[in-house]
Amino acid sequence: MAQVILQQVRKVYANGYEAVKSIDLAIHDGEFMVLVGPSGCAKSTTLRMIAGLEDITSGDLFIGERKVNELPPSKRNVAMVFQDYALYPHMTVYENMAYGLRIRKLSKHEIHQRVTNAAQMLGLTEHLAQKPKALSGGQRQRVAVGRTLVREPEVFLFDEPLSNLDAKLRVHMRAEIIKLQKALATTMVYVTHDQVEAMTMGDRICVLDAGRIMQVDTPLGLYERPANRFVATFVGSPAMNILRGRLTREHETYCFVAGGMRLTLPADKAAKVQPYTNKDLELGIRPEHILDKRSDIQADNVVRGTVVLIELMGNERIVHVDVAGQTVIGRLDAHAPVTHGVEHDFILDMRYSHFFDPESGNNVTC
Amino acid sequence: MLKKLLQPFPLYLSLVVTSLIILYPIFLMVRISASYPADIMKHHKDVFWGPGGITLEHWRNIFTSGLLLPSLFKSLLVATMVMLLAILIAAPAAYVIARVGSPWKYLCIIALFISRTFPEVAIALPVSVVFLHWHLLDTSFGLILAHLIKVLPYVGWILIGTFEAIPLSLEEASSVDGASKIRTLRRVIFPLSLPGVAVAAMLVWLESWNEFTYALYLTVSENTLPLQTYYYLNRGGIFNSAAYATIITLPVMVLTFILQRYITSGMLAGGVKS
Repeated sequence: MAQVILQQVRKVYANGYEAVKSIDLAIHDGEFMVLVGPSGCAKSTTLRMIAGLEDITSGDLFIGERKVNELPPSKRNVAMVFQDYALYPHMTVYENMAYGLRIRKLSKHEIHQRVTNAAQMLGLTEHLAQKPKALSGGQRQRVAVGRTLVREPEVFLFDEPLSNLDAKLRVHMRAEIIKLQKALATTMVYVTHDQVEAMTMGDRICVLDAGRIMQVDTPLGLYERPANRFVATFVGSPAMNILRGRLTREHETYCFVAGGMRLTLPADKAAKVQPYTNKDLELGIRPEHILDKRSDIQADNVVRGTVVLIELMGNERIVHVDVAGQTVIGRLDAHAPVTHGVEHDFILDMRYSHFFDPESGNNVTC
Repeated sequence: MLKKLLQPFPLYLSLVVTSLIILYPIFLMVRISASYPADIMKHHKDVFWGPGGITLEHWRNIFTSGLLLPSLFKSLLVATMVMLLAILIAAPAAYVIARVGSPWKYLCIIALFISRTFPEVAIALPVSVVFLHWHLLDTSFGLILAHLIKVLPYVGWILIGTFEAIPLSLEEASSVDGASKIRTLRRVIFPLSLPGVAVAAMLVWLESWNEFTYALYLTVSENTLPLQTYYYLNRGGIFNSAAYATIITLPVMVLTFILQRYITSGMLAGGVKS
């Protein structure tokens, strides 16, 4: 077990493309860290640098107390599950799992014990004598995990391991990996592009975009206190609504004005956005904070908009509302009285609002 | 039930017909090598065998002539050495070419085939002149070198394809598992490339075993088997020639039979998700 520390790590390819732009990240001992971001955000490159499969252009990388910049993958004592499984097709499941142990010259008895234990844990005991081609996708995935388990490495690395599985199996394997990590308490770095996977699995999540870290926080921290517009819209489904408008001051109250909307800011938010008075600003509000206004209730911050789309999910309705030219998505009760094409009043619960600087995208209310 | 039994009938029929078409000339060759000249040199041909029956006279001739064993030995030596050298030279190069980026890869592959754009008869003469200076004429080593000119592009091409098909992630997995580069080559790359190597080796061996043009130019006294066959034919000895041709054909069949089990499809199946 070990911590993994990246200090100002950069990756510049031979053609001059800077994939990773000076990343600082400390992954604690025994932590489940998820690297998440859209394609091309350099999450896989970062993982491959930790594994030693990509050279580091500059910066330092530590695993435990050791600086491993120059160490080949074979000397780093990390184990990796590849996106495409990368099982040795000419070896049986047993040989696949024993391969790394044989290289380390463990005794036959020890190898046998570790492999059979891992196989038992992963439900592969009956398949030990089979070759990978005789297995299903989920079983192959488990062999790939088993191959890393038996190694008892300092750090586990997972490169989008579930992306090739069907939805049902993915949920199942997700739970298995979480349980496994909790049982082993070994440092795990897990790469995914799926924010749901990131939210459900990680102790902490590192959100990346275009080679830069956008935020590192706990899942709830990311959701409730996104550091910038990118994180705010990346985490959560449907994504946070972003509305462009202007901040105005009327007597002692601050208002966010956009199109026909006029929304009053609560005192704590107002205190933080003061410098933006009479300037452009972006309002971020999650779909669950858009509430259905019953006709008998009096409330502030009511907006009126035309319902353009209703998605019925069973337990809830996702409504797309056109408010003065901007589309707002709300998550309403399954029985909310909204009708397609009809105007309706909604309340924006401004206690949970975020405000972003239109230039930098930073959350100014955080 | 009857329908099920008869369903594969057209397939079997076509297999039998194709086999007959392929095998009949071989049968003719064997028949000529073991027939009396009177049965062969007549207007009215027999479909199966002449009335004279079987004779081993021509076989006895070539075995007692003292020319067969040296030719057989030379052909075996040259073909086997060409096969080993071609694989040894081409495999490392092909592996590197397979792993470099695409513009270089295609340049390398095209460059490989430049030597094949000239007709053999055109290259064989200058080659024999150079080999004369180097005292390589009429030596097995000289012929091996000449055959390598011919086979290396093919071997390279086949092996590049073989190595390209092995996913890079397998090498990466092996290296993360703790294996050195050499161990990865030995335990992962080599076993997985075996079918491709077997095909290449077989083709090279056959190519060298059957090769005629270079052998003709570079040989003065020690003939290879195809040359020996040709000399008999030249002198009108079609019966001895047929016996030689039969001898040439036998190892081809044996080798194909041995190597075909390595030519398995799906060797890489199940390793990575495509």
